[in-house]
Amino acid sequence: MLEVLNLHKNYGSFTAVTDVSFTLEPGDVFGFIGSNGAGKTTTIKMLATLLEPTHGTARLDGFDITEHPLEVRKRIGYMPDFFGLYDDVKVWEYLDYFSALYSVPVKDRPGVIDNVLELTDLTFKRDAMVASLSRGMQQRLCLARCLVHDPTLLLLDEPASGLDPRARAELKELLAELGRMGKIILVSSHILPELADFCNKVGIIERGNMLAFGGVDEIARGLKSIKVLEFRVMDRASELSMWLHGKPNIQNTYLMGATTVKVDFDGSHENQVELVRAIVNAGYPVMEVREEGVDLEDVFLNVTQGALN
Amino acid sequence: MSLWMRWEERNPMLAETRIVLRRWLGLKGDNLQAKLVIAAVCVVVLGIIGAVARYSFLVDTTVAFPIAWVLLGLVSIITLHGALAREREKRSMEVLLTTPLTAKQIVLGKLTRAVPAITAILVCVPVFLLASGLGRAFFKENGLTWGDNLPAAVVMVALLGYLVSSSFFAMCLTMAVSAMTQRVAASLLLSFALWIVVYLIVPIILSSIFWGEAGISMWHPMAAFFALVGFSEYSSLSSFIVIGWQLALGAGLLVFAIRRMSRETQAAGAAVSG
Repeated sequence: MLEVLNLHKNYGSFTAVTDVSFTLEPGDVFGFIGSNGAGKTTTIKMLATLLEPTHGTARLDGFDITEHPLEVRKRIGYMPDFFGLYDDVKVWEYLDYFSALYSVPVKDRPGVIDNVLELTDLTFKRDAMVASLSRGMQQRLCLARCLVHDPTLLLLDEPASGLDPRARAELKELLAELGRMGKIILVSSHILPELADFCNKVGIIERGNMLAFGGVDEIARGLKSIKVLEFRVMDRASELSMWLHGKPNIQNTYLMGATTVKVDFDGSHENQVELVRAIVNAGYPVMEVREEGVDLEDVFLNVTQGALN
Repeated sequence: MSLWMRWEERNPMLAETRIVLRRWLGLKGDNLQAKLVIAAVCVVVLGIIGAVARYSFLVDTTVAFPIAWVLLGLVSIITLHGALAREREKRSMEVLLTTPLTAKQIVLGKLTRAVPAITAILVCVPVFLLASGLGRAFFKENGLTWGDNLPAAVVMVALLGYLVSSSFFAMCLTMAVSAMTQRVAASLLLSFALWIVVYLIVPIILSSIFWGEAGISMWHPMAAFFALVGFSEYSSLSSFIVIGWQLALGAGLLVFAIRRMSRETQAAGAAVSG
């Protein structure tokens, strides 16, 4: 379990991260979203014990990152936003080196190396030089290196940047698999859709402030965001459009052809139920009511807009 | 479990030296070129030793010492200048710092990378001497005089001790420079420059100040060295003082490098961005 408690970092008079707190359970895949310079990397570096927090702390399985950094380091796998690989060694030598640094018992090392190579789909590159690998493979090797000591927490800083769509899809699959293995995974990104489908928790950070934290739906609900409702009727669409105009919680109405009306709606679920009931009671031949899916990008733009204004 | 692996359990950083050693000396693997180079070097060295053995009256074996001394310094600098600077340049330092290693383990472990090459050179020195009919006889035949008439064994210990402590000092100097620099090239140049300053410039300045005074050899490793091989009347005992100096200074530099690294492993001063 990872508990982050009021983590705070100042660089001189500049505040990079302001009192960030959240808790993650084993199996959580946490998407950490923010634009460039929002404080993602600083937060991750503090969790990786590379930076000392100005105040506040975090605990991994009860070990404090500032008081017991060595214990914490045994339990984390950190992948920086650049790979930092040694390119003059072979793939298996690289993994052998890191399993030695993490004090994996000598007799277990061959098995561990085979396992992580298989997991990251690099078995066929076992004897290749690291420098000869493609970017996607180097990425996976980097991840394999994070796994040799079976850590509880994986800190992945922008793992998908610079990967082609195929490599990105493979990475997603791999991270989902690791989540199922019960690891805590923290993935940062500034590209939102790439996180939406496999993260079960999302945090949005902007200018060092954690603006939202929770499940993707939860965040969307917690926001007073405007959602778009789409009504499809058999006829009388323009009449419905006029009728809806000025009703509570409705901001704008748009007539979309002969049978469809869209509205910007900012009410709660209860308000929405009432609205639908009112439309039906008023005798409009409603065939379908559809709520346009909230996508992470909209959520992000909505949330961060407040911080920027 | 082998002795090496037991050491490696105490200091996992030794894995780096193990991987390098396996690459150069291991019988398995496919880097044939490297092994051919080693084999060629061995043939040449054996040939030289053979020639010295056969025609010892032609070869002044004392040249083995200055050659070995310079080689040891260069090998130390070449094998160690990148120890920490390369990690920074390749940006792999952060990854290394998130492993559960202490600064001491990192610095001491990386120091061992120079040991195989240095051992190889040191082994050649007595072999040279043996080849030319070692011992007291050797020194007498060459007409060397020892002010204090020390036994040849002591002289040998002094000579080898001088070479070992010089390379230790060069290793520690390079490690300290590597701990401070961000770039491999900067580390190489600075280590080399400092090595020259310590062994050439400083002795020249000191000898110009203290020329003729007995105390000079304590400050003057090269003077003590030449004293040892018979170019002046300095006693071979003074070389033990120089050995002590070099070991102490080296240890001091090592402590400095460890302090510098532990600033980073304890997170407070790590390089930052974003």
